[in-house]
Amino acid sequence: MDEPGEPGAQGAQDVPVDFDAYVALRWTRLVRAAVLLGAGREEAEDVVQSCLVRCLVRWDRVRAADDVDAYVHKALVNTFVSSRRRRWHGERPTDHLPEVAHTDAADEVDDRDAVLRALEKLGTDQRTVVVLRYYSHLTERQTAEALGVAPGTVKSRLSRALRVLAADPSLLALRGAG
Amino acid sequence: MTEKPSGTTPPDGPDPDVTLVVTLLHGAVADLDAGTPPLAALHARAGRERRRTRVWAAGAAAGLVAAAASVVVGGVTVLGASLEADRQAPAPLAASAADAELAVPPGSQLVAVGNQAVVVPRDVGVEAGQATVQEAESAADFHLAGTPGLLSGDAVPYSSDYLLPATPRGGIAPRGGYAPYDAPLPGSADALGVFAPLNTSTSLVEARTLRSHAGIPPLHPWGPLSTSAVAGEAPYVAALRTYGLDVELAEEVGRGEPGDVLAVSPAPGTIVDLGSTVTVTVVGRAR
Repeated sequence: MDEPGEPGAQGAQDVPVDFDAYVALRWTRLVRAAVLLGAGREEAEDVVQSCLVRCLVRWDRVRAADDVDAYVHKALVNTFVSSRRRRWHGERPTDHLPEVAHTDAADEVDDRDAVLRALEKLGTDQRTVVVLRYYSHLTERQTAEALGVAPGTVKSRLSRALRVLAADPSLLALRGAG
Repeated sequence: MTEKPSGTTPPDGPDPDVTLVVTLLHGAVADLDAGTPPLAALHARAGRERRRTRVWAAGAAAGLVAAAASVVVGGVTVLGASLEADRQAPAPLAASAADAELAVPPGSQLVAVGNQAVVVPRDVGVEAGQATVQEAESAADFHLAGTPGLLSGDAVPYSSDYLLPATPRGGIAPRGGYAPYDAPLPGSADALGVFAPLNTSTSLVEARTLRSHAGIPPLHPWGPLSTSAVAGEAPYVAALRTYGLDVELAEEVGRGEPGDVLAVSPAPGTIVDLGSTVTVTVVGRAR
């Protein structure tokens, strides 16, 4: 399904003020963004639902905000972080990720896995800023607003994240394949 | 489901690393089907959230007033007693949860048969007493038969022939409401049948299982009670008890065999608390 509209490119004035219309426009992108943030497929839908319920409860306030997309993405990030705290089962960070079995018929899944593995190597802050900026296409200002940091912080996080991703061997392989 | 890689123009200019990351991010999730936005579920959850917030706020305010009153009285024992009473009081969230299962978004109505319920648009114009909930293979199908004032003659039996073309079984209901099935139905030339597929991912219909309430079922399983009574009260009474309702039997002289159900009070379609007493009037037995 094609996704109409990009938050940053559209501009706040084009964002629907009606909740249902907004969700219809952004649902797919939000779920996919949640996956890139690190949620599983079903968890992503749960996170996005919870995020949107939070927004709907105070939709008047959201609508009145300078930037609806920034507000919703801020809620998305906060909801995801909260859900991760609740679902923590004692995992420990490690430099060595376990091998995952693949099949030749699952190239798309392989590509996704490679990208997600590369994102795993970023810190949470860097990963979040990469997803909001380069997938959700929030502007620098929107990203800064969503994360509650200065625009300069967004730039520096992006810069560091790009260096890590550019050097990632699995992504280099994908670049070669492309 | 494919996604248009909207990031073909990198937001930060022609940096090849940025281009690569944008392309890879979009490609990685391009085949991920997010489904249809569950708008009805979102509205229902938001309604419950608002109610919970109101109850919490009311409880907190009451607690503050109670605490302030205790301090004014000045007795540590009184304050302690108040806190103890708070600990023993029923949790407000439980009541809220019970109420919340009846909450529906604006413009919607809750139609319940027993402990199964669905949220449907109010403009569907259905009386719950004329509806049945049936289990299908993958989702509960909700058969809304007999819009008030339009159904005449015999009740319309459930049949897959009455599926609404625009809302195929198991499909997604179209946005904007349900179109009526306009073909003549057996025994009821001007009958109107609407078949709404139940799928929690649809935007118009939400299925619920009621845990604190039950809907009084229709006397006839497929439509409103016609001129004849329901044959045999036992299945109907058994169904009521299964739903968690108490039954009180009353007898009246009427047509039909002794024991046939003539009426039920509260009326079919009414949603009552579990444990409520339902009066079932049956044809009296010969003396």
